[in-house]
Amino acid sequence: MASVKVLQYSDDYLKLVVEGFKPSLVNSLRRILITDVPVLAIDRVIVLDNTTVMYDEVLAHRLSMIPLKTNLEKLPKIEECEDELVDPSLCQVRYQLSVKASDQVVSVYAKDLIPDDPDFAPVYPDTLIVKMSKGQVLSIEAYAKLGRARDHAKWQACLASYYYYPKVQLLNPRDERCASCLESCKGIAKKNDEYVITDPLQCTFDNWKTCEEACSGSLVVDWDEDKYVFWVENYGNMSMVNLLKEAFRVWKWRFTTFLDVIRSEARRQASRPSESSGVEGQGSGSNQAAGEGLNQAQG
Amino acid sequence: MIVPIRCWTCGRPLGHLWEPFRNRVLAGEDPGKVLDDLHVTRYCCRRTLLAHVELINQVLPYGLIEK
Repeated sequence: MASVKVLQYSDDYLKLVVEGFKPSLVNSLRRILITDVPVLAIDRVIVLDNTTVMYDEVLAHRLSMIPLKTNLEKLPKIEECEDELVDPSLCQVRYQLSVKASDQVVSVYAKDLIPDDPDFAPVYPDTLIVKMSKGQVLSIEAYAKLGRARDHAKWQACLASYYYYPKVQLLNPRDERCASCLESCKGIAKKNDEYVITDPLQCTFDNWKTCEEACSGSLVVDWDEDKYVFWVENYGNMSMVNLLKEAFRVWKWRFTTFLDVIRSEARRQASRPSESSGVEGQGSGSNQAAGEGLNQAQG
Repeated sequence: MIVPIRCWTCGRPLGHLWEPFRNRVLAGEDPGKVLDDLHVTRYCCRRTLLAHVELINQVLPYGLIEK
């Protein structure tokens, strides 16, 4: 029976217990979240003036790594940007940075990076970009573009992972060797000379396994094949809700595209004149069988 | 030379945590506790902050261009 239960929910962190799905499905969601959620990151930098100790390219790299707030409603869909179905200027945002250290050492922060639209400001305004000593100047124009983390880590919007739900059984609650578990695991407690499992989730799976080793024979740790603890850590480019919405949209888009490709190939196979397979030679038998299979699938 | 903006390994933004981390550790707090407090939970992020050596202040005077 498929079910999802929320353990922890905030804009930064989401923790779920997911039950009744195969690892392949859960893992594909994890991978979409990490590598395919589109966000903005600086991609092109025009250095007008830079007399700081940092080289232009190092500076450009640091600028690119700064997480930017991404209001996806104000931008075209990532697929439209990638396939150039829209004007490329719509998929980018311009930023300006201009600092002069006139009489003392100045730290340049992400908040000095001024976007044309305040909706796309840096997520963490106190991110240190560079330091400048007296008399140095820095003047930069930068363009952020929608992208995916599969191309570069600067476009990474979150981190997601999952582990098996631990199945913990205490066979001998009076085994004193389990005392070492109390330190590493909060999921086990001691009540009236007996150890009890309070909450299997208060401890990571690995820690439970360490416990199992410490009091071998008395504590058995196993896992459910299709029950997981799934977590997402949001890097702040967008709210958790929007992050998940976009991840599911991209996920669905991938399946739809895959299905479309299969359908069009099946149609192509079906419309091919059947005589042609005879001309190709002896090896055509298996091809023909495959073609028939596709015809049936279409029907 | 200067604190990385993201964790080398997992990509978590860290650049904004360097100054609070540094100030609190210099004020005598335990580095491990400060990292817990800043919600830096994974060991990849913890070593990125913990093992960082801020050298830009030493380099700073050499960048001057005399006019």
